[in-house]
Amino acid sequence: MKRVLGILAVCAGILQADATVHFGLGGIVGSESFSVKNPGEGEQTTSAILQGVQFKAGYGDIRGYAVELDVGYGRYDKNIFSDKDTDYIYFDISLIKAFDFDIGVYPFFKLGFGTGELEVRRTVTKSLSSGSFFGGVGIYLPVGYGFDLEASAIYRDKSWEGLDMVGTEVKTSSNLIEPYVGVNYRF
Amino acid sequence: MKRKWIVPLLAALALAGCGENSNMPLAGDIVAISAEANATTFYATQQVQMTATASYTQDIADRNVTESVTWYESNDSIATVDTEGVVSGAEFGGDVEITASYKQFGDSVMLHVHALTSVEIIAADTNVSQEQTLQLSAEGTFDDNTTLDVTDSMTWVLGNAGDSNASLEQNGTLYTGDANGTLDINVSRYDVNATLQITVTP
Repeated sequence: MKRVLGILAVCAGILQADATVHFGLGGIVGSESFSVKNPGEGEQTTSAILQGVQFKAGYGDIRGYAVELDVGYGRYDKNIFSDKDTDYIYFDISLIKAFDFDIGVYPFFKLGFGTGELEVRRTVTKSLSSGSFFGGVGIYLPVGYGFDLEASAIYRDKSWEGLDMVGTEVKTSSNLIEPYVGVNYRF
Repeated sequence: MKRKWIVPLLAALALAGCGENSNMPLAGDIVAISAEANATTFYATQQVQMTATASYTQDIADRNVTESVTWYESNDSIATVDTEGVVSGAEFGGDVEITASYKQFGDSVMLHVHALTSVEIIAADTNVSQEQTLQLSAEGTFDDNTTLDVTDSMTWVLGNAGDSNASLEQNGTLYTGDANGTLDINVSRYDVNATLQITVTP
């Protein structure tokens, strides 16, 4: 927790004076590559499409630094962990640095980390947590009246909670390139 | 104009993937835990080793999970089971159910324990010289009239040693010491016991 507060304090310190609050809504879709290691077996891989919607609240400058808190809801198009993997809810914290090159759009890059919870239907596990780090690039396209469109793509590396197999675990990791398209409103 | 496609896109993303998936997951899961005993009938002074095995989906090989499950017995006056699945007979005979449990999984095995009903101390000689070593043994009789060597299962007590340096080990080894007299040897297990007198001579 101290680390998170420290990062937020650093982020707040580098925000510029003309920073604003913004909210955004968008969608993600991406093919996530999973690597699953069952006890006593070799690693197996598969991929699943993750689709979701994401709400964000941020503070910062569309042409400079910003911090964002995102909450997302998604679903995979395949079962990975159980015969009924369902809702995936995740939270992200990002630091964004945007640039103004006088070209009508503001390119940016972002770094962050997040946590997620996937609802599963396993014999002894009903939900599964994940942790992730990510980084990516994108653009803001102002469209007037305080609105701007956002398009980005991040690379996300996830590690998943071990799955209980009585004294041993199934170990899983995954990664994906996560394109995002959405709209933001800045106050 | 540019904003018109955003709302349908978001709605499509939100609605997409709301159906259930039907494929088999890659990750294995627990199917069952089974318990087995290396003997289903035993004598109260003996031990039985329990084994718990987990079976899984996805053709994952069964695993021995004996030390990962919780073991418990239905009646601890007949037998007790430790965390490694070792069952030891107790005071009484009868049937006892030994269960392996892990979260919602479990399996039980019924064991029958024959109670120890009497014991006798066996000595090659009851008149022994000073400073000699004598190996004693205990022979137990069980509720089915079977007799077994129970030397290592009994509590051995040396009495009446006085100022002598006589000693008695828990495996029945007696050192007669450096004084003449009579040594009282007692073995016991719960309420079953026996006494033998050894005379120490010069």
